[in-house]
Amino acid sequence: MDSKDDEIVSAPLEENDQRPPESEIQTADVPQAPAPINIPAVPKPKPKKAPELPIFERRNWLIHLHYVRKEFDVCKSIIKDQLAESGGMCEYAVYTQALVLRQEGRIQESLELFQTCTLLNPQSADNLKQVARSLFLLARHKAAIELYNEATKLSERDWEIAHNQGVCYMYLREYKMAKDCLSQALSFKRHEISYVMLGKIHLMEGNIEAAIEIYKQAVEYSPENPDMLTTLGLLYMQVGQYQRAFENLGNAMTYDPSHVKAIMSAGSMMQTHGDFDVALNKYRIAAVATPESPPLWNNIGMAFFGKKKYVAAISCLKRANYLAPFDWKILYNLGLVHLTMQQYASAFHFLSAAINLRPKMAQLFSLLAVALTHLEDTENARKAYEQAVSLEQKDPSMSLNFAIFLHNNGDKSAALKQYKEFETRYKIQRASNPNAGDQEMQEAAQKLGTILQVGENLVWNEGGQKAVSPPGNQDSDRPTTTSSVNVPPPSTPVGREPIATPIIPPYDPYDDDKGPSRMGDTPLPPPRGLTTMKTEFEFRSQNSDLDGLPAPPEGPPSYDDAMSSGHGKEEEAEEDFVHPPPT
Amino acid sequence: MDPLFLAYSYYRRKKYEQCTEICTQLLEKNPYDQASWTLKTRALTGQVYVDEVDVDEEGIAEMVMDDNTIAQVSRPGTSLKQPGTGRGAPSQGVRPMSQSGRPLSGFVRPSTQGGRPGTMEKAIMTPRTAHTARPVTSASGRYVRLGTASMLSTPDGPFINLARLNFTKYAARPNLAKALFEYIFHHENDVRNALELAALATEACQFKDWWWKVQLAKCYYRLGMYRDAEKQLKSSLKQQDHVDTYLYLCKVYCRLDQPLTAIEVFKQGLEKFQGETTLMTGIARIYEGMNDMDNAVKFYKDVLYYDSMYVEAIACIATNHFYTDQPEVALKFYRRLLQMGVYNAELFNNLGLCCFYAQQYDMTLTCFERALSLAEEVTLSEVWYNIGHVALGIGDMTLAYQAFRLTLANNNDHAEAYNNLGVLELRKGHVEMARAFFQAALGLAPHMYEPHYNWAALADQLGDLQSSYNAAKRAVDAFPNHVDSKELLKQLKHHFSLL
Amino acid sequence: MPETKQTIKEVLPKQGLLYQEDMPTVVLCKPKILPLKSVTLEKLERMQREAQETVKQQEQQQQQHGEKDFFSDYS
Repeated sequence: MDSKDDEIVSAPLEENDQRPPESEIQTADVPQAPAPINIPAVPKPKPKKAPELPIFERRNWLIHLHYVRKEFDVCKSIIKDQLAESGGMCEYAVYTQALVLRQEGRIQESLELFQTCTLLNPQSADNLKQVARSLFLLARHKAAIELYNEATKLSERDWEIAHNQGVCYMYLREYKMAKDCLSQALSFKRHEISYVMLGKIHLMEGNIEAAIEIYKQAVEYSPENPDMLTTLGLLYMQVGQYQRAFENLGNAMTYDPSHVKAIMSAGSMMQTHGDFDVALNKYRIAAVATPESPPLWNNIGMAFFGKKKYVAAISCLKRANYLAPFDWKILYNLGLVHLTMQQYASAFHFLSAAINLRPKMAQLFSLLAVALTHLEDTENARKAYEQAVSLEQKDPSMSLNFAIFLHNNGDKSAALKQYKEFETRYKIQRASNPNAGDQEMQEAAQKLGTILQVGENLVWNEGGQKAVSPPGNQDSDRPTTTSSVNVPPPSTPVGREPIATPIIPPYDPYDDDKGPSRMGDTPLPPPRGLTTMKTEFEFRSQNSDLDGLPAPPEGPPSYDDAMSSGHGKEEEAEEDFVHPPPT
Repeated sequence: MDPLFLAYSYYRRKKYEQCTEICTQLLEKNPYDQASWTLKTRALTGQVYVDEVDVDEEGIAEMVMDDNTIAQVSRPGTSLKQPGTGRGAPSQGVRPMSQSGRPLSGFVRPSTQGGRPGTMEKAIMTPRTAHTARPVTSASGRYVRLGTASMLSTPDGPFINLARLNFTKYAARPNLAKALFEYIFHHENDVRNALELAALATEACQFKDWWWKVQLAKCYYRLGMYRDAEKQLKSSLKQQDHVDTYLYLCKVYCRLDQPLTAIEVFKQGLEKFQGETTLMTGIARIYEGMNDMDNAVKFYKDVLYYDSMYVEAIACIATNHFYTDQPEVALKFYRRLLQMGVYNAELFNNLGLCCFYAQQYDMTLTCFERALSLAEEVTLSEVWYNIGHVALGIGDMTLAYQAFRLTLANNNDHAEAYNNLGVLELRKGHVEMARAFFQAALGLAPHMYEPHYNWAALADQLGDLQSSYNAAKRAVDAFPNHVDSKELLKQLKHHFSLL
Repeated sequence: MPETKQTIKEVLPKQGLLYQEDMPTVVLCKPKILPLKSVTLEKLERMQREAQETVKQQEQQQQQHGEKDFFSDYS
């Protein structure tokens, strides 16, 4: 029996209010414009006079009306009547009931009803699609895909089918199939959500460029969607195209001034460039919307730190830490602020907590070493420095501090060696970013160089601004005068952290700095936690053997890999200097 | 020495048992000795006397079948049932909440233990989590237990046989009647007879004695006749301004869920008795109950201005400071309590927490050690729970795990510990374990949003959108302003309504 | 060895780590400041405890008596 035909025949008999055929119901979810006011009064009178027709469908229009108004209780009671009358044979009533159940979060029951629908009307692609969708919502992705395949036979060139299949494949981690399906879906019909999903898959595969392309198309298609603009902005940040990133984030904030995500990322950019007050103003808006967000409080704290308001910084950071005790970045910052305030015991506490959580972060060891130095634990300070320079082969400041430490402790030859290491690293860094290194570091280095009677012809003597701008570096938006404000280049530990990818927040928050690799972690939280625990354990048991370990794996692949071979020997480093930084 | 004099001396030194003994001997010699009879009555009362202003226990029946309510849904800020606006209060994400959705106070009184749950379901669920189970009605609760406690001490039958007492005779003799009333009310816990005596007595003195009116009100209050209690108290206040009367009147208003009226009355009282700390504390408590921390702290500070040794005020202010990012200040207040001689596990636990968050690490451990040695079972579990947090703070996951485990060993119903263990398991990648812990937590404490949200987030990741949706809904119910829960719910709704 | 041993200060980073975005995470329950007990409450609890103990003692005594009676009756 085909309900649609019945319905069209029956409807005029009862009411002049035409029931839309089922195909329209598909779109009915869109919040409905207010219905004509007299409608609720209608149901009773007329049908009584008309000859009572035993047609199951006669109240479909009413069901539909209540459904689109989200009056689910009324809807359900009418459906109950109608099903009782029809002996459960009214397809439309069952269908709507299933929809209502789904909206109430009762997916399993909803699935059973949709299955009934397919029995009542096996020819309807819609019914099949709904069954498949229910399976999808219940995480039975394989079964869902099969049913969608069935449905394709009934309805060709269907955007919905292709899209949902793609999403199912994504959950099954069959990315190639997923991409094919989604591209197909987009060829049938352009739709934001398909773009979003496709972009997400590219990110899961770690292909940021491709993701950017997709999001670019998406933003072209619907330019006023702040979510997509923000995502695009974040992606641009990730590849270092700050100008474009800022444009997109700015657009996002124009359309939605209180868009927290956009504020967070734009704020962090402003902060990086030293615009602390502007960033703080933005954060203020965000703090109203998400008062319990640890990253937000972290950034606010660091903005105060930038403004040299240390007490405020500490109190914000401590709030962030209270809300997220597992977050090593916050602990790092707390350590840094306390070091700056010369509260070394507290700094030590925070840093050692951070190291417990994340045993292989060079920056942590480097700061810990400073804290230990001032707590007069020379032996452990030296060990910490050794850890730091072996874990991180790029950052010159660590080597410099180590050299300073060695010098202050009277170990001249080791200091000299470390100083050489520093020079090497510094040159490499300048090669990729001429503005790298701040005044203070340069002064300290010069001072140490003089004492050690080395430091002949270092790069900074020529003046930083003149250094050759390397090819492929797109930091065009970076202010040229940076002498007063230190803009950390993307290659310093700060920027080196790959920006956590925005989409599908992976479940395990503590792996957030693993970069694109973790994108594969959706839908199932992976056993990665296990491995980190293991390394933590290893760290404890064989503390000193870490020197032999390779460079941390979690950096973005290209540049680090290229550089990591160049540690230690100056000659090699000189060669690396010639390497064009990868794009 | 004259035995009666000795008995009086014992009574004044609160050695009620010795006093009773002497009086019993005297009465054996001369059963008509009114002086020793009165003294014995008062001594027996003194044994079980608790300040009636402070005692307040609401049973499930009174709460849910409350016929004094006018509107089901009250305007925010006018009711204690819907603690509301949260002015100056840290959010639920920072300061833990009790079942009734009120922030945990820095001080417990008998009446704050349960809080007032909003629905029958909550009321019935309460005993599962609160350690002092809520009685079905107050007639079956602590009042009765107190009564039986006093019965126990006199195994050879009650001292006064109420059934054979001629109330009219006693009512006419004010010197005996008052002692007798207190005996009946506190020791025998027989409110009905007490009421009868009070009614006769107030009649006998031509309604001129304010004291009897207050006692009548106390009886009415116990019987749940709040409007009658209110009338008596008001009439008593006309004759005699008395702090206690104001306190009782406010207690009645609180029970009628008219906190704003109660505050008004307190303020009237304060005009008459300037600097009366109990009245100010009363206001502060009401504000605290309404989650208006700004005002609560203001009044607690006023209290401290007049009485710098007021434990409740110090404790509440300290708690508030701790949860508003000022553990250092909280530490100062708790230290003061220590100096004042408060010496118990709770205080050391709080000191430990404050020390840790104020970065006074050397003291932290000692405080917790002291707390552990002083604590009894339930408190012990809480102390371990907080030690677990300290372990998290120093990044020592193993210790944290063990501490939370020990929490459960001491109190198997500790929902927070279950939740935190779930989070730790999740960090290790043990999804199933984590799920089990979250489930345990949300079963034990449906009023906490954390396990609901965690469960929802986990289920969402696993693709089980149905459970996720339901859990997210519960999380939003428990904490309507939780951004992440709301966001999750929005996403899921979007999923479901998408066709 | 340099004869004038100058000590140089280490260089600290001028900027810490920033977050570009917020990731929803699981939430922990927060530490709990324990409420102190009022005098009334302590007294109530003490009375309750004492009462419970007395009851227990009495019951034990009764049991013992009962047993004795039992034996005395039947022996």
